[in-house]
Amino acid sequence: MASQEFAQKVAQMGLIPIDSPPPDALQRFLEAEIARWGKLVQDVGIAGTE
Amino acid sequence: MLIGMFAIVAPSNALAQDYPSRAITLVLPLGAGGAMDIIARSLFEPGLRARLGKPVIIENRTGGGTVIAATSVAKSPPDGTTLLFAPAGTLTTNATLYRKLPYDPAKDFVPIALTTKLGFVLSINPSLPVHSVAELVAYAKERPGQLAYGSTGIGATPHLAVEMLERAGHFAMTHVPYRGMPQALSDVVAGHVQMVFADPAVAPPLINDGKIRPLAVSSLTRISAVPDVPTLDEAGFPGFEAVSWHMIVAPAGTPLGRSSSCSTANSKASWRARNSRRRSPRWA
Repeated sequence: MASQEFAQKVAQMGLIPIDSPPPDALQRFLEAEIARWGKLVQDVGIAGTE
Repeated sequence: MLIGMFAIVAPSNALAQDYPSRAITLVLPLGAGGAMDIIARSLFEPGLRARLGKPVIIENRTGGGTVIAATSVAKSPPDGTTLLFAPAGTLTTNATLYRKLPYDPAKDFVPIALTTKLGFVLSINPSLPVHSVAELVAYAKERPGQLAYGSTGIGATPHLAVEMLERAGHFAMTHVPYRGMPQALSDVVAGHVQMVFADPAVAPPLINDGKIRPLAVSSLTRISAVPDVPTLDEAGFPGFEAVSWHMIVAPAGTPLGRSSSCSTANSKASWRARNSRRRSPRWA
């Protein structure tokens, strides 16, 4: 199974394999991550420094 | 079509017969030899070639952080033949870190698949007299700003993970950004800085040699490379998660097609099952 091969190989690299969520959940995940990390970047005071 | 293609981690046979009309280029914003490059070349490329009967070109387009690659994919025709394999920062923190980003992570891409997460190993110089996260926090609280931690750069996950931990644990350390993980780690080993969220690909030998001491990992699940190290969630910070991740995205407007209703339903059910178990973060 490709899924097991994928999981094993990425685990060997120290990574955590993900069974990707369906597209609508993935879109919501991305938006939530943009908001969550964006807030932290603002709080830390490094927004707009690049 | 696209969704099914990248469900390599959960194989489905929902490929459209007429897709793609020409070879697919998967753009990596990072150089050859890194984890994402290895995943793309050793897993995605052969898997897709077998399914599509055509080569998939893996293109390392480096420079400008990851901005040049992301911008070029954002401006590519949305026909499914140009995709981006992006680390989290390209799609998340860059939106806030950059004064002027030439692409909009939320609007210029459509997500195809989340493939992997990268948790980090909270590691300290072993001369520090602490053996748990609780002891570290107590020790740091008594020495505000006196302890220093390394990172791979301002705004990178190993930096922001400490910022998150400081807010949750009410302590403060001094940040020292390095060019990369090897430099940061070697300064922890040398004792120039006391702590770093280390890449689990490189931490284990240093742990085994006693050169760094792992206290916790930043993911919600343990990392198989360091199976005995507890999660921060287990170590007194319920819900704590500060990971990077890797996602395949296409230019906005790319028709995604549909994977088979069966595999979509399965995927939805398992996603819900996993997430219903997840505790909501109390430290936020």
